[in-house]
Amino acid sequence: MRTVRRTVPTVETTQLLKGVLDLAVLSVLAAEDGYGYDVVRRLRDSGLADVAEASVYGTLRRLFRSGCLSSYVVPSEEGPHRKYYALNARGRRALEEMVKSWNGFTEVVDRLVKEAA
Amino acid sequence: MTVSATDLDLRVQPYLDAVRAAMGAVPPAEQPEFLEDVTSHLLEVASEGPGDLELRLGPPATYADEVVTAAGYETPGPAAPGWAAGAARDSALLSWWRRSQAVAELRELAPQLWPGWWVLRPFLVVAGALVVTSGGRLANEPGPQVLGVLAAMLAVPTSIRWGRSRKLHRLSDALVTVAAVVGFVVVANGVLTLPRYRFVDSGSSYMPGVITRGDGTPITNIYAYDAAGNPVQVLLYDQQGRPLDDIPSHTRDGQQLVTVLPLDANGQPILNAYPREQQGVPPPVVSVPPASTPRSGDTTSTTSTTVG
Repeated sequence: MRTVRRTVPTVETTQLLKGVLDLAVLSVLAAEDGYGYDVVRRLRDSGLADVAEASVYGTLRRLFRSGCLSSYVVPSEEGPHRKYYALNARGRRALEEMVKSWNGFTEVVDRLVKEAA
Repeated sequence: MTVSATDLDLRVQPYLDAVRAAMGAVPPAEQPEFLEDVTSHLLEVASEGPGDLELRLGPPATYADEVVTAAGYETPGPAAPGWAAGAARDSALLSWWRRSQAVAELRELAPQLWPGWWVLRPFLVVAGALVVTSGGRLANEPGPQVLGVLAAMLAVPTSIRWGRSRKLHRLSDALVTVAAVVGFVVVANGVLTLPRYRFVDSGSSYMPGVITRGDGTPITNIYAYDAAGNPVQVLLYDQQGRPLDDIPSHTRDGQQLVTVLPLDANGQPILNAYPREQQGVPPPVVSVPPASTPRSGDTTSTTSTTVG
């Protein structure tokens, strides 16, 4: 059973996370459709240990409202019905744009960091 | 590990309540769906095991703020539950407020101004306290003033700490704010009602060039004593080096200034009782004896005693 977050998020990681959460969530869903908690788990498993449930749920909702995601409900016998989110065409285009920006941005920052070292 | 349904509901309820309270900015049409989504997410987390949800999700209010913000809605803010967003939504004034560019810039600037207020308010509290304890003036002696400034400076870090972590120190922060506002009102009132220098021109006792106190009453004599109470002969000078020797002996309308000494039990004047009063005595009147013989006991008239 997962209990406490082991790390205390620093200011830097929190700020960075806020900036890339859309990109991270869209990427996770591009790989496979997912429901809220599932997306959180996949993000954490991939290394974003500090990501908060509330941020992910809210992001999913926002992306859905902006038309990047579609949703469907999968009925379940033992637990609550799960609402799955999936990337639609618009979402895929948005993801492409974000990846481009991200790559450009990280290139610049990497260079800066190398020069500083 | 199975968790009973009621357990889940109980643990999840505070979070749902918090989300409902923070949901003011969500359009009414979307609220049921939003709440449903959040509920199923919360139940999913809660059904992992019986541990304290707050360890996983943080405090309900923080969770609610974050989920509403991340979903792209405005939150009402930590201090204003749903009523503000709901009721004010209909006000035309408020929609101007939200749309106005100048107001938007002010609102952006406001968070930067908070630290200034946190630094200022201990000084307001101290100033108010000084005015109140010194009966309306800002404690004319430098001692209390210096102490007050030092105390205020020492209180600044605490004030900042209370202001920044307003959720933790809500009561302290509120108390200090109230005290500072009260202090400001008290000081402002004190400043506005400062005694002004008035020239008392009641027509009877003021002459230009006569030494007067700050409130206009004239000083017609000055007595100098040492600390043991013995009179000393001194020469007094003003700030321009002029001797104080033009203390008048008459008032403007001709009344003579006479020292009135209190009398002791035997009717003798007490020479060392102070302050000694000086009064204007009306010019002596020569009384014409009445045509009829004065009554033998009639000696009470005081105006016929002296011919000046």
